[in-house]
Amino acid sequence: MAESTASPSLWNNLAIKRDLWWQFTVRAVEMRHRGSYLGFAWSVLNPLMMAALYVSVFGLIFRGRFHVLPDETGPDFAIGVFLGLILFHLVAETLAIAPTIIIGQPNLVKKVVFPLEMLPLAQLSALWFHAMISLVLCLLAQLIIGRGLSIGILWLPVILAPLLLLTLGLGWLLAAIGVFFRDIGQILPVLGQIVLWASAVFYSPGALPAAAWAVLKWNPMLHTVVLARETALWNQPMSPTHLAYTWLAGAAVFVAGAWFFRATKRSFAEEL
Amino acid sequence: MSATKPIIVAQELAKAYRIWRHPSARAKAALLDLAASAFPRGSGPRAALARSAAAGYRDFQAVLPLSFEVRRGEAVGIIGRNGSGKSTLLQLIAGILQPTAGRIATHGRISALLELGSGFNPEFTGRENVYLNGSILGLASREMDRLIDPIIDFADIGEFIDEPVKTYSSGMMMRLAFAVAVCVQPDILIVDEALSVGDVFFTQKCFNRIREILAGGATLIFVSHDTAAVQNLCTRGLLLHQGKLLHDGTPEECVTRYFALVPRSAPAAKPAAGTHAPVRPEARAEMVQHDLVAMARSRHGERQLEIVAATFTNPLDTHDREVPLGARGTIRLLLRANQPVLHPAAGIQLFDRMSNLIFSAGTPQLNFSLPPLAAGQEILLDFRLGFDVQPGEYTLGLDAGELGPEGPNTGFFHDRVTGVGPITVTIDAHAPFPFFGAARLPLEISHA
Repeated sequence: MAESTASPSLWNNLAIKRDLWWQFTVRAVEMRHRGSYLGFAWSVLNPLMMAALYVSVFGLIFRGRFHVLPDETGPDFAIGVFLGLILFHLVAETLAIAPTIIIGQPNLVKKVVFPLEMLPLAQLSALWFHAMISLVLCLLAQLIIGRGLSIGILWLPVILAPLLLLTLGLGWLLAAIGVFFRDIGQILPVLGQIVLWASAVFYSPGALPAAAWAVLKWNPMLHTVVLARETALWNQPMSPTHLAYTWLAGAAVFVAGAWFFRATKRSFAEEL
Repeated sequence: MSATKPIIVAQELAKAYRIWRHPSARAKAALLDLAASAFPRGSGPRAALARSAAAGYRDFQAVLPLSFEVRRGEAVGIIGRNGSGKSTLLQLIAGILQPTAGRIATHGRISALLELGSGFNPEFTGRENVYLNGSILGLASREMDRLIDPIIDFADIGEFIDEPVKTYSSGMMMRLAFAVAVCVQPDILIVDEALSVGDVFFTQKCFNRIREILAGGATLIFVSHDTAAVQNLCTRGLLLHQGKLLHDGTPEECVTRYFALVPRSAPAAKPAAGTHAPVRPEARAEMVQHDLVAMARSRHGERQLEIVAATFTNPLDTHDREVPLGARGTIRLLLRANQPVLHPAAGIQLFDRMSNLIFSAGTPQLNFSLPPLAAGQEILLDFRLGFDVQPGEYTLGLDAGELGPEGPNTGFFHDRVTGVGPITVTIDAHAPFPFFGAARLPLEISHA
């Protein structure tokens, strides 16, 4: 076993971890646009263009409906889809980037002693930062062209927190697995597509056949999307069971991911 | 912390790398091990499953169990051929690799320069990377605010500090990495080959800074193929060979033994008959009588080509080991081939009182080729050396070996003797000094 007593105070240690987290998060956010002319503006412009696209395609062309609100309009559908996609993208991008987070930084694994758990954490923080910008735009759209914000919006943090836990756990889990099985990068994009269609982004669970619901009701992502859309956006009655289930699933994935990462990180240096 | 408390302790430290025959073997082994754990310990199926799991890999022993302690203020040079386990040992000390057996304990902040710009993010500026490296080394950003100016000052890369690191030359990257590593006041500084990239001024600056850090009580672990640098900087040497700790002692001793390590791939010389005259018995007898090799301080090598005896003759033709400054002394070597030697070579070294190598040359440098020697053949060589060096005591090193197949500057030692002497270079106290410094170089003057 190896032991090292650098013995800075616990407080100092936390301060350093926070510094590292901040630096790597800022970097991950900047990395997206470094070198482009508009730079950080893209963090806002990108989701803005996406929002415009969804509002015009779903609100004006397809004229789809969730059939939850009796007086549902085109903008309602478009903003609902947009919100669902923001949450879906969080999971999809986690799946896409997580397996390469560790193997993409061999220097930090093999050449220095680095708190590696910080790398998935920083990448996930950057993803969430961008998602929050999109969310603000989504809520602005709801305020301006939708039916306005309801009291249900207060539920949003409680509804999204389990998703934060879920994506963090997934990030650690997949980052660690990616070190040992590079093949995982091949499977995950397909999984991403499955999540898209299984998470009620474009439909309401009420429209599902009973057989499909029997399976999909176990998908915590579906409940998060539905709760965010119907409770937070439309102020519909909230299902405490579904909310509790998302918390349970999020916590389970978080604990499992953190445990697996901790258990395996000591052998990362040998694998790269 | 007391001055004698060990700052690095390695006990039976060992590292093996698991090499999988096939990527899928790893998954298979994990499943087989899992299946094996379902059976009771010592049962037949369990052993069989474990055996098939083990068939998917072999273990490569990079570092065999070794123990040592390093104390505060020591400067330890680790030398060894490529693949001797040096880098693995450094990674174990730095805490990057986990040992497979034994334990390693370190105390204090470790600043490791394992590779050029490791831990640098190429997309970000030098300044940003300095802060990043600082946090990696355990310094909060407010502490780095205090250190950033000395670091930028030391790196001395000008405006580039605010440019992305990807635009740096390798020399600039090394300067910055080194500046961070030495300016954060490490307790243990680990340097691996990193100094070879900079120009001579920066290298000198690095060496001076390392000496300052050492004087401040820090500990240095230094790995380099530059054996002169190891001897210059280090107070202690560790010689690794094929994962084993061959020697733990003075740097000079380690360097000597290092050069005596004959590569396993050394070509076996074909028997060849020499064409030179046999050594006269009376010359041989005189040499044995005044032999200096027997009183040498250390000797290494397998002696395929052996230095049987060596004598020193001053300009007065006596064997007194005194020579006036500027005069010539003759070093005579009696060599014997104990097995056929195809391309024999021999040389001498002159070391000053502090063991600094002043001069070294031999048959390859003198462009003097020796005939192939058959087993049992002897040969006499005279090296006439002009002692154009400052007055004082010197020792000689002698070596006999073979030229390597890979070029004029390769080869290996069969017999290497150091600490021969001392030889005193004298000067008439009333005469003006002919020069100052370690040695006289050709110098002329004229009206321009």
